[in-house]
Amino acid sequence: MSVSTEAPRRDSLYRRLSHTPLRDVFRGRLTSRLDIERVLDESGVPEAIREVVRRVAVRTRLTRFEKAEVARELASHFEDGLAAGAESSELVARFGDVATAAKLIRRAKKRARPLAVKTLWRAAQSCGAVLAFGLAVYVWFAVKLLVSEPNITRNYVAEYNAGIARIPEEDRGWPIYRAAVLATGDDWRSIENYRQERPGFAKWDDCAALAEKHSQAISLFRAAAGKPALGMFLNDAADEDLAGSPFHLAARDPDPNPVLWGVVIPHPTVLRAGSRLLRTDAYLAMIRRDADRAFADIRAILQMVEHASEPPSVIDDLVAAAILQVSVELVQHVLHHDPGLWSDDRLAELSHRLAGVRNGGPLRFRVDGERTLFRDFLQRCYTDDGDGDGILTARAREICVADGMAVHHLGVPDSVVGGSLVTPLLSAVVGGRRAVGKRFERHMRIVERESRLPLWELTESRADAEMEALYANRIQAVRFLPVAVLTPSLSRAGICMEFATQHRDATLVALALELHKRRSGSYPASLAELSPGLLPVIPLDRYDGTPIKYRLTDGRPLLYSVGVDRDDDGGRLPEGSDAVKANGAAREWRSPAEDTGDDPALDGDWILWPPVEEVANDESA
Amino acid sequence: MRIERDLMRGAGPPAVLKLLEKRPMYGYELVETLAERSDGVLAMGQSTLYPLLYNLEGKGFVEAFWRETPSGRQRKYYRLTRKGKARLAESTQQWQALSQALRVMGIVDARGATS
Repeated sequence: MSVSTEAPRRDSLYRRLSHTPLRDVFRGRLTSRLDIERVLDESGVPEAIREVVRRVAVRTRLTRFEKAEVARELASHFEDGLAAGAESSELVARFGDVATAAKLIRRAKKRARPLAVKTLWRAAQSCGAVLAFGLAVYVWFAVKLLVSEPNITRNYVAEYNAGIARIPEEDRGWPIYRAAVLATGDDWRSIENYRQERPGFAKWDDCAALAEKHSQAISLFRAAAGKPALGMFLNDAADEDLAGSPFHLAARDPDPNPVLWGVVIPHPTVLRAGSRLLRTDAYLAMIRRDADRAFADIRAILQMVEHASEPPSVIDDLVAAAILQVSVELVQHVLHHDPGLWSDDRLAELSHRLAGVRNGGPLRFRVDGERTLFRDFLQRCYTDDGDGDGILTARAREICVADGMAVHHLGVPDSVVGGSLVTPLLSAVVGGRRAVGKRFERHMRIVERESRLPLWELTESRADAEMEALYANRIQAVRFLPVAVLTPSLSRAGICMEFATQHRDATLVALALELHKRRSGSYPASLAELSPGLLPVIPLDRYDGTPIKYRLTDGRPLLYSVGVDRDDDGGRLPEGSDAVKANGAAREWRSPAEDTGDDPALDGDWILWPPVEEVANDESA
Repeated sequence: MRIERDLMRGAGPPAVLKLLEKRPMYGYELVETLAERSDGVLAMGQSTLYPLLYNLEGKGFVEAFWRETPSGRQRKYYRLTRKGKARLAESTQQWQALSQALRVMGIVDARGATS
């Protein structure tokens, strides 16, 4: 065999230019060294041979580097043959079958790869397989999500409004409440901000001036409260007349079947602020010894409690309890500072009205509104198989980012949970309609059971423990994402209702004590003397389940609860220079397990009567 | 004479290793030399040679390197490694034993020709 003696081949200028790195950049390649065509161009073999080399290299399906290497060697081989004097057709014929060559070369090259390359290749293949599988699953859920449509069969807003429509127009208070708000004009926000002011407080003069200025609005609030029902329709349209008020939302087209969590609910704000305006007016009336006006204001506030409770949800019940506290504060103020302001009949009427608030008995919150809201979520975000089950639809992500609750509970950014790309993943892991609905209902039942417990029976909140466990377990939290996101913590609501109950009950006893004193000339030696004449039963201490504690000190009555330490200290406040704070600490609920008994801040009683704030002010004066 | 594929598969690697024992050679040279030295019996197409070379390279019996030809062109050469030399010695012994056995069996005569 002869060794080639061919003359060195010089690349033409065109050839050299056509293989500059710049050309590679334009072609989107870092280097053309891995380019079969470049290899063939450089070799300069005839087209018939180029075609063989090209076909073999391509059919090997090796890496670009390996293909170029094979092409370079085969081209070199043919060049040697040509240099030895063989014809290109002869060389092509002697080469053999292209497909076989490609197959054998591929097998040999793969076998010859270094172990590290083989390992990396296998790893890449595995990753690719996993990714491909993941992508297929993702696409499956994305398609499923896209073709899934919720079946909205209920219009909860319309159903609620149907009940309101049955109330005669003349019995509805809401139109007058609305007129009262409008009558306050630009002062509405200031009225809202005066939360605690009463005579002697720093901002009392401003607050009183505002009440004097808005006597028309106060009359309207009284008139509205005198109606048998609130009668407010729910809708998702902005009330343009109330533009600028805190409950005004951006204008939008009303929906005939609006999303329940999107409806405007201005009444809690209106009623709460209205009760504050009436409270200021009542204090002004007391100062002027206008018994009728003060009584009318308190009666109106008590009626507002009923109106606030009309929609059966937790927020409405909490607002109702807050408004009840306003009336209790006013009654206690009169009894303490000006017990002779009202006649016996007025005191008796107040007693009946207070006792009959929300049908009497301990105050409880309801979760009917929360249940309806969740059912609306389910029907809008899940498909419906007609048997109570269904799969998540694309609509759900709007809910999952509602008010940033997903971020709050799960630590997941809104952009992630709310991202449309993430929704198919959510649909893959979030539980079905029935499972999620059952989980929510289970939680609501626990909440309801706890809401009926008096403080003396309340220990750890199982509802809170359940939710905390849900948040702590990320898998469960995602599986029941709608429950985690849409379920508020409600244990505190029950405690607030118990506090309101205790204040109301103590005020009932204070009213009875005043009546007893008027009739017999002195306070009773024990509360038992009040029943059944002035009280059907002696109200209970919410912390120990026995009657409210009663003592006479220097001829003046003292009503108290054993407080959070569940220990009768004879009506002594916990230690502390601030009596109001000390009384608050004695009231503040904590589970028996948390109470170690050695905290001096809690070692004392919760004073219910006379009002501790007033006592503190008297002493400072 | 055309050798059956299975036989070629067994004879090809030692034949190539033997050629590379004395000096490095390139692909075309190997093909031509094999055909020439074996009177065409061990002639193999490139489609057979290159996979064979890649296999030997993968097993570490040969190693490849590029070298410039007098014309300035790059050409790939193969040379025997130490491991390849050991493999060649081993193969040589095996083929001699096989040849001896075939002689005893009367399949080949003393000159190595088939009877």
